[in-house]
Amino acid sequence: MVNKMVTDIAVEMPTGLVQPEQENIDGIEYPKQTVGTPLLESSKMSMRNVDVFYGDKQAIFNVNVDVGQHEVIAMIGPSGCGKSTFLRSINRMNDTVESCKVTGQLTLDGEDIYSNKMDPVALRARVGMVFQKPNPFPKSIYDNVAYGPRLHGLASRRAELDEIVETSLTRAGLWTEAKDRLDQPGTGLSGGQQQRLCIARAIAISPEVILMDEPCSALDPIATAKIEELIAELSQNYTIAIVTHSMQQAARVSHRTAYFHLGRLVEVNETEKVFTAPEHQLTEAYITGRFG
Amino acid sequence: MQTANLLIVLLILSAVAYYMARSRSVSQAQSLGGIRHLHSLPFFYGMRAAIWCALPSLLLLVAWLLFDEPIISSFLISGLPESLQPTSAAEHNLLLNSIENIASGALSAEASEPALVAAAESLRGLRSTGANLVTAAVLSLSVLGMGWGWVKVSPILRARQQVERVFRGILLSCACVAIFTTLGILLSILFESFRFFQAVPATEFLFGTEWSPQMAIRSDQVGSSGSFGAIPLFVGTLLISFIAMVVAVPVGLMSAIYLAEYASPRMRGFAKPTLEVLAGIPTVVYGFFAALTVAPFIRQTGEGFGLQVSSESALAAGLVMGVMIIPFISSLADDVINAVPQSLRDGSLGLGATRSETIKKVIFPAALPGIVGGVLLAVSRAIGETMIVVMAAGLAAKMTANPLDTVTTVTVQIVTLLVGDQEFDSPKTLAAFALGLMLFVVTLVLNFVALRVVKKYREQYD
Amino acid sequence: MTDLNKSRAEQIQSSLAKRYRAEKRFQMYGYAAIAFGLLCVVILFTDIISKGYKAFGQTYIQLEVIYDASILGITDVNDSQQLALADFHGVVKKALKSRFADVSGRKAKRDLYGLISNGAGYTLRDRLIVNPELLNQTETLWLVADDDIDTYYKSIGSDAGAFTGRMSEQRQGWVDQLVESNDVEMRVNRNFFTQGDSREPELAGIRGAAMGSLFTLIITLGLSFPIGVAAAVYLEEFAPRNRWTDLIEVNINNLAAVPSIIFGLLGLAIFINFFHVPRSVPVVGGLVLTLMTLPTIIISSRAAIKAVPPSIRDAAIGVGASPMQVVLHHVLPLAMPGMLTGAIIGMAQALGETAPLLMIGMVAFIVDVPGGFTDPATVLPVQIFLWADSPERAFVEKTSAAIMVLLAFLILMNTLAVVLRKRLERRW
Repeated sequence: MVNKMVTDIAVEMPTGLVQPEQENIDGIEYPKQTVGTPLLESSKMSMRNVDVFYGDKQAIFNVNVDVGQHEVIAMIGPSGCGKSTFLRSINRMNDTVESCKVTGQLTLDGEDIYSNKMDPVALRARVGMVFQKPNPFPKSIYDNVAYGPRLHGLASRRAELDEIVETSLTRAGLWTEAKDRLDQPGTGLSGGQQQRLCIARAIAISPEVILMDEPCSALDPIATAKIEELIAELSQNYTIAIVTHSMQQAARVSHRTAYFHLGRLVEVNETEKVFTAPEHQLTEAYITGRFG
Repeated sequence: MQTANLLIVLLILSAVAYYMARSRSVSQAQSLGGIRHLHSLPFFYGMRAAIWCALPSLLLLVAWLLFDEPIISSFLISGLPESLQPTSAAEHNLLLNSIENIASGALSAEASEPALVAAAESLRGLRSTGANLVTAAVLSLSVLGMGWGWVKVSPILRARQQVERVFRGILLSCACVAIFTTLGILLSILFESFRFFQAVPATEFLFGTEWSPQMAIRSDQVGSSGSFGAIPLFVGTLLISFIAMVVAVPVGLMSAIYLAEYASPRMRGFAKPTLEVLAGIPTVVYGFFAALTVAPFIRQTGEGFGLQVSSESALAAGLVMGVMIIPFISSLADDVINAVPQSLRDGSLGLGATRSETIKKVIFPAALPGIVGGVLLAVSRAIGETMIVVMAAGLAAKMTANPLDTVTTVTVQIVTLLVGDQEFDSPKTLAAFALGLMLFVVTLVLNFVALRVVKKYREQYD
Repeated sequence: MTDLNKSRAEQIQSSLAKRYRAEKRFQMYGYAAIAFGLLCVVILFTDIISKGYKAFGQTYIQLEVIYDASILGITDVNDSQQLALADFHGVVKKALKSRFADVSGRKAKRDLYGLISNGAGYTLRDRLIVNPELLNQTETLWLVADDDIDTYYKSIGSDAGAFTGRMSEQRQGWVDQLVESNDVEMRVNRNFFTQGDSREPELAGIRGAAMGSLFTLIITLGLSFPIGVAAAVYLEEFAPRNRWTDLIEVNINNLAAVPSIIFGLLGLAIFINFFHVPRSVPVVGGLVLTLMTLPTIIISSRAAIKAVPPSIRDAAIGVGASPMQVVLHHVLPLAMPGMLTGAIIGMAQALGETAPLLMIGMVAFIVDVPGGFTDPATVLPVQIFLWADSPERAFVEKTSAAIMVLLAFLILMNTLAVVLRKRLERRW
C-alpha cells in the first residue's frame, strides 16, 4: 500500500544494514543521525531538533523527521519511549501540562507552530487528535460530532451543520449505525463505535492532519480491524500520524514507520523496509522481539 | 450511695474480679504445664469475670437513674387523696413541684396542705429507700457476677469467644446510637406534633396564611387570635434562602471552577484555605455581623436611594447566609469538577476549544448532576439555619417577596416559641414541634435526593 | 494550503477574537468570585476586631475614699454579716461628692454618682476584708468607671468623635476635669476574663461562659469520641453487608445533615421532659452536642480506618490474631491520628454551636461561674447571642471581644488539627 508520491520524493539511500556513525549513550549504541528517510523534499509537517522536557527530565532528544502530504506515518517503539509525548507536541497539547517544555522547530505547511503568531486554538482546528481511550462527550451523537464545527463557527445554518455531521459520520464509517440514533448519548455506543465517533468528531472540523495516539489499544480485534480499514480510507484525504505499540498494525496501515527508542528517533523508513530489512540494529532488535 | 461513688466501687470490684479470675486461670495452667494448654489467654478469663461483675450492675444502675423519677412520682401521686388528684398534666407537674419544694424546705411545711406535707415526707423516705435498694442490688449483683466469673474458670472455657462477643455487642450498640437518635427525633417530634394537631387542625397549619400564635392564657383574655397558619413562615424561609442561594451559587461555583482549572498551585494553596475559613466561623458570629453591620449598611444605602428599607431586612440576613454557604458549595463543586476525567478535557482541547469553552460546554454539563446535588444540600442547609435569622431577621410574619422587607422564618419561630416562659403544653409551644416536623421532613427529603444524585453521578465516573 | 483550507482558516480566524474575549470574561468572573470571597473574610475580621479590641481596656477613675464606719454601718470589722450588708456604695457616693463639692440638686447628684460603676462597692469590700485596719481610714484608689463613661472616654479622639449619647454636658465636664487632674486611666480589662455575666457592661466577663463551654465540651468529647470510634470500628470491621447495616449508614449520613435546631428539640423533648435532666447544665448540653457531633466523628473515623491497608489486617490474621485483637492492636493505633484530627474538628464545630443549646435552656442569665458539670451554665456562643441583644453600646464592644476570643479558640483548634494531621500522616 505504498503511496507512489512518497517514494518518488524520498531521498534514496543504499539498502542493507548500514553502520552509520554511532554514539554510545548509557550503554546503548545510537546512530548520531536518524537512519533511513526521515526527511522529505516537500512535507506537510516538519520537525527539526525537537527536544521535549518535563521539568528537568528530558523525554525527547533531538528528533528530526518530516511527515508527507496524505501520508500515514506510524511511530513505534517500546513503552515509555516518548512516542505519545512527541505526538502531543505536534498539536501543542503539551501546552496544557504545566511542567512541559518543547524546543526546536515544528512547522505545518512551513509555518512555525510554536511561534507567538500561531494560535494553539486555530492550530488544533488544523491538526486533530484521536486518543487512546475513546472519550466521547456525555452528549448526543449529533452534538458530539457537531461540537467542533459549532465552536469554530463552520456552519451558519442548521442544514449546513447536518451536512457536516452526516459527512463526518459517513467518512468515519458510522453513519449507517448512527443515523437513526443521532440524539442518543454517545456514551451508549460500543467501544469500537465510540472510537469511530471520536474520529468522526475529529474530522468534522476538516483538519489537515490527524494525530492518533494508540487508537485501537482499548478495542477488541474486530473493532480494531474496522478502524484500520478506516485509516486507509482516511489517508486519501488527510495526513495521518499514528502511534502504535502493535508492530503488526504499523505494518498494516502505514506508509512510513518511525522507530523511537528511549526518546531518540533511531530509524525512519518505508514500512515494508523497516519490518523486513531494518537498517539499524536497535530497530532490528525491537521488531524481532528481543525487547519491548 | 452517691452515683459517682457507686461507679468507683464498681470499678474496683471489676478490677478485683479480673485479677482473681486471671490468677485462677494461670494457676490452672501451671498444673497442666503452661498457658498454651488453656483455651484462651489469662487476660480473657480475667476480662470475662470483670464483664460479668460490671455489666449487669451497670445496666441496672443506668436503668434506675433513668426511671427513678417517674416511678417515684407515680407512687407519690397515687398515694394522694382523691381530692388532690391532678386532672391535667399541668396540675400533675405543679403538684410534684410543690411536694419537691416542701421536701427541700423552700416552701414552709406549716403553710401547706397536710396531705402534701405527708407526701413530702414519704418522698424523702422513698428516695432514701430507693437509693439504698439500688446500692444493695448493684453491689450484690456485681459480687455475684464476680463469683460466677471466678467459679467458671477452666482450661476448656472459651473465654475469648465470650469476651469478643460482648465486645462486638458493645460496638454494635454504639453503632445503633445513630438509629436511636433518629428514632428519638422522630418520636419526640411526632408525638408533640400529634398533640398540636389535636388542638389545631393540620389544614389550618399547612394552608393558613395568618401566623399569630398568641394563645389566651385566661379564657376571657382579649386580643388573642391564636392563628397558626404557617404559610407566611414558609414564604419567609424561602425568600431568605433564595437570596442566600443567589449569592452563594454563582460565587461558589465560579471560584471552584477558577481554582480547579485556572489557578496556579500557589494561588490555590492560598485561596482555598482562606475560603474554608468562612465555613468555620460560628453562625452566631455571622448573625452578629448581619444584625450590627450589614443591616444598618443596607438600610442607609437603601434610604440614600429613597427606598423603604426595614432595619431587619430579608436582604441582610440572606446576604450573610449566602456568604456562609459559599465555601460549602465551593468545596462540593470542587470535588465534583475534579471527578470529571481528564480525557474529556483533552478531547475538547484537542478539537481546538478554549479553556472556558471546554468548561462551559463539556465539563459543566458533565458535572451537572453532582453540582445540582451540592446545591440541594446547600439549600437544605440554608433552610435549617437558625442563628443568622434569629439575630438578623424579624419576628413579624409577613407574606412578601420584597427583600427589603422584614420576614420571619420557620427556625426563628421555633426558637421564639420555645425560649420563652411558656408552659409546655399550650398549643403555642407545641406549634414549635409541628414546625420542627416540617423542617425535618423537608430537609430529609432534600438531603436524600441530593445524596442519591451525587452517588449516581460518582458511579458514572468511577 | 488549498483554497478550501484557506477560506476555512479565515472562517476560524474571524471567530477567534470573539472567543478569546469570552475566555477573558470568563476568567475575570472566576477571579472576581474568589476576590469576593476573600473580601468577605477580610471585612468580617476587620469589622469584629475594630469593634472589639477596645473592650480589652477598661476605664478607671481615681478617687480618694474614706472607709467611714458610720456610712458603712459597721461596728465590728470582722463580722462577715455586717460586711455583707454594709453600704459600700454610700462610701463611693461620699467620695464623689467631696471631689465635686459644688454639685447640687437630686438629678445632678444622681448623674454624679453614676460616674462610678455599681460594682465598685465590691472592690472596696474586698479591700476592707483583706485590710481591716482601713476602717475609718482614707485611701486613694482606682475604681471601675461606669460603662457610659467608658464608652465616652474610649471614643474621645476617634474619627467619629466622642460618643455623647448618654452624657449630658455636665457629665462631660466632670470627666474632662478628671482627665485634666490625671484621675482617669485606661487599664487592662481583667473583669472580662475573671468575671461572669452581669447586667452592667463594665463588670461583665466571659469566664462563666468559657467555663460552661469547657465543661460541655469535656462531656461531649468524653461521650462522642468513644461511641463514635466504636461505631466506626463496628461498621468498618465487623458489620455484615445486610440491610440492617445499610440502614445504619443511611441514618448516619442523614443525621450529619439534619439542622442543629432539631437536635435542640430532641434534647428538650426527651432529655429534659422525659428523663428530667435539669435544664441549663453542661450535662444536658453535652448530651445534645454529643448526638450532633457523633455523625461527624463516625464519618471521619471510618475514613481513617479505611485508610489502613488491608495487608496489615491480613498479616495480623495470618499470625492468628482474633478479630478483636486485630482491631485493638493494629487497626486502631494506626488509624488513631486520623480519628484524633476528626475529633478535634468535631469539637471545634461543637464549640460554635448555639441553636440547640438555646432550646435546652442554656440561655438563662447566669452570673456565677459554674464549678462543675451540674451547675447551671451557659456557653460562649450563647453568651455572645445574649449580649448582642443588649442595648448598651458598651455591650457591642464586649460582644465583639467575646467573638474574638471564640474565634481565637477555633483557629487554635483547627490549626492543631492541621498540624497533627501533617505530623502524623503516614504515606502507605
